[in-house]
Amino acid sequence: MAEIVFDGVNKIYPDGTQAIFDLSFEVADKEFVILVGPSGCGKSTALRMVAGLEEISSGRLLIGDRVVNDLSPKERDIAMVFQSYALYPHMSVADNMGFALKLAKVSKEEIDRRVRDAAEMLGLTEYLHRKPKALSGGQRQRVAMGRAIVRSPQAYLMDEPLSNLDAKLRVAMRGEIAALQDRLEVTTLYVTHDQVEAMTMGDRVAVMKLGVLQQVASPTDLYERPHNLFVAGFIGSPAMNLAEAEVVRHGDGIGITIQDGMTLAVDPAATDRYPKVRDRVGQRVAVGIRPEHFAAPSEVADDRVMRGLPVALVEALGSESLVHVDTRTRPIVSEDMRAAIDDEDAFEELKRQAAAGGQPFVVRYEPSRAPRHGETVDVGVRTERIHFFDAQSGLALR
Amino acid sequence: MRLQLTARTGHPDFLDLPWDVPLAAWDHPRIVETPLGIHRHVVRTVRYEDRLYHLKELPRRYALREWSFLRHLREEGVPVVEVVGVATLRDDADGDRLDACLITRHLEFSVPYRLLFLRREHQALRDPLIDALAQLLVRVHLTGFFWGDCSLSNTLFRRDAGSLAAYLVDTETGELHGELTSGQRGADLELAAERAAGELLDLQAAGVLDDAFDPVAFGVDLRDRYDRLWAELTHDEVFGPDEQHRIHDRLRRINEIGFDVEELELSRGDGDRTRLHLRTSVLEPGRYQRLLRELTGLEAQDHQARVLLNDVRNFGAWLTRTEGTSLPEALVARRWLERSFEPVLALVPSGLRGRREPTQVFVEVLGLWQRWSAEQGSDLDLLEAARRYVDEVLPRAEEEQLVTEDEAGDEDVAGWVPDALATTGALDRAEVARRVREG
Repeated sequence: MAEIVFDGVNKIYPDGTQAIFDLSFEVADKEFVILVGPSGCGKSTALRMVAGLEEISSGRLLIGDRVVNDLSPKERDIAMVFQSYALYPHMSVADNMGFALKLAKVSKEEIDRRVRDAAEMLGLTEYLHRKPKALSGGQRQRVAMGRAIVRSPQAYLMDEPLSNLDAKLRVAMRGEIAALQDRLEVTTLYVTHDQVEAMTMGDRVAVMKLGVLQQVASPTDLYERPHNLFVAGFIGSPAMNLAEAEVVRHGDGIGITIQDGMTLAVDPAATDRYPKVRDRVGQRVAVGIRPEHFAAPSEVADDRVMRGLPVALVEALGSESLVHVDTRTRPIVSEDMRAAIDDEDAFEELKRQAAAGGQPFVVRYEPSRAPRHGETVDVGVRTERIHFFDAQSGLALR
Repeated sequence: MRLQLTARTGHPDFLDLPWDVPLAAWDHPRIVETPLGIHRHVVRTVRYEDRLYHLKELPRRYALREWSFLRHLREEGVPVVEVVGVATLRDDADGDRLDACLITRHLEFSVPYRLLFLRREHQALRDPLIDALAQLLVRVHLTGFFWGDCSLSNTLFRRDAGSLAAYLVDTETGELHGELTSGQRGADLELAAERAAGELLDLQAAGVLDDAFDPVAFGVDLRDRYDRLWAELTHDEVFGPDEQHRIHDRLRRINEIGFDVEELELSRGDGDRTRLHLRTSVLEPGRYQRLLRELTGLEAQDHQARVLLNDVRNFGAWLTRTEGTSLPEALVARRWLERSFEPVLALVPSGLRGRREPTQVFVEVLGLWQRWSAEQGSDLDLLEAARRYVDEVLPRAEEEQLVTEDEAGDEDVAGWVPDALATTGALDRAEVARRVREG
């Protein structure tokens, strides 16, 4: 088993395009790390550098205690699990799992042993003699995983292995892969563009944007303590509500004027987490409020309520309702937001809203308390949970 | 119902298809069953008059990638299936979004590998298959494309004189680079060797492939063949001042394997030795196909083109002898078309035209003409040889567009039989059924 270390790694293509900038982080032995980011962020390039499928322009890449910059993919002792896999319909599950070892001239006894071990781990023992068509979609995915497991590599590299599956199976497989990695205790680097996948699977998540590592942290830390506006906007579904606001004095503490005529008192707990915001009185900053950090007006103080917000849309999801309320807050229109949204149409809409002087906020409600479309609501804000960022650099004001 | 469909001109608009229903559930008169390889996605085939189109349902981003990759590779001269459309933003009746669908035109006279093994002697297939796959992978890599999914299932094969020509079918996992690193090429080749071996092991498990056929050795030989071809095309050659002929030798060898070289890079280092370096981007495959097209307008596979060009040259020499004067090459080619190629093909009755591609018919007639002429000790008339071929050989040749009931032992092929019998357009169902019964 082995750790994977990126040590000041850069990737510059012959035409001068730089895909990775000074990437440094470590995947510890047995750890499951997810690389996530929007398209073009460099996550797949980073993974492929580990696999030996992209040359490293400068810096060092280590697997275990070996610098592998110049080793071929074969010499690196890693198993790459792609989104593509094919099960052979006439071969048994056992043969489907073990055939690559046969090609590598591993003895029959050893193949049998490794296949049995892998099958046990994957819950496939009773299916070993069956044909793939007798298996469910999830079991077939496990057979594909089994192919990688029997190789007993130092590390697994997974490049969006679930992206080809339907939504239901994808959700089921997320849990299975995470549990399997936990049982296998093999260092794993997993790439996805899906931040929900990232947040639900890994020990830690590395967020990238335009070739630059933005933050590596546990899912909880990323969610609760984003380093910058990009991470704040990218991580979380539905996304964090972000707006420009002016920091003002408010009683003994500070407040934020989030839209004309609407100032909210900021709880000291928030300024304790973001102490630099205290130096920004009189300045505009970016503030973030997650959809679940709103409350009924009666549950917060009067000076923490946004009043008179028209309900534009109600998404009833069963266990919760997501209510889109119109506000006159100013959206953040920046390259960070463009990257975080990763959808040109949606970003154009944000720009349009900015020009029109408002944007909707998404508020999470219990279904029984959700308002209806067309109503006007007052919404309490748990201001102890507000996030603060520099409006220009996007950095958290910590 | 929402639908966005991008289709190339020269093909149907496909708007009569039930796009608001998942592809697997289509029950539509245009659907025909065809033998396909092992696929991760739902793939169905539709028929518009005499043309077949394959539809593959997959997530939108992969469909759009594959759409652009297939078009790019075709522009680069790589043998790939022709992509003609992509349906995206498909909504079902409830407004829920369905996966996208990629539309490719069926490659006529092509067969998947499983059918090849059902039809032909297995050991005789081995080397042509390896050559075709290695050649295809090299051509793909020369364009800077990492396939990521090279396998027999993702390839279609066509007759090419006595060899096979391989066509790339599936690119959804590919990546386009300026130039591939050796690591990328090596990994792609490793994957190809592993998958091909897996597919052949599967054929053995199905009882289709002889036990004497060694799938593992097939994978090993595929690697060797690829490495040799790549080295011949790209290795740097260093030679002394009195060895200029080695440039010409090298170019001749490259031409012989079907590539043209657009430019050379020669550099002189310390001493008098010169280094010849060939950049992969200046290697242009399809030399003989291009020459044949320029000369005659005919489209052919690589080995077919070599045979036909050779015959045009022989015909020119014969014309010079009989007319006492040397004619321009273009004129020779025109007369060859008028006096040899077209009259031979005109002898093939419409009922037998589904058995071989026209250029393959001519190549096979030439081969038999040479054999029969040698046997009788003097030149047989070419048209006489063609008549014998049409009477004695072609009726016994298997339909390239059909399968027989005997071939349907493989379950992937079995489901295809009823509809496939009617796919030639040249035969009605009753006639095909009679032929199948009579073998």
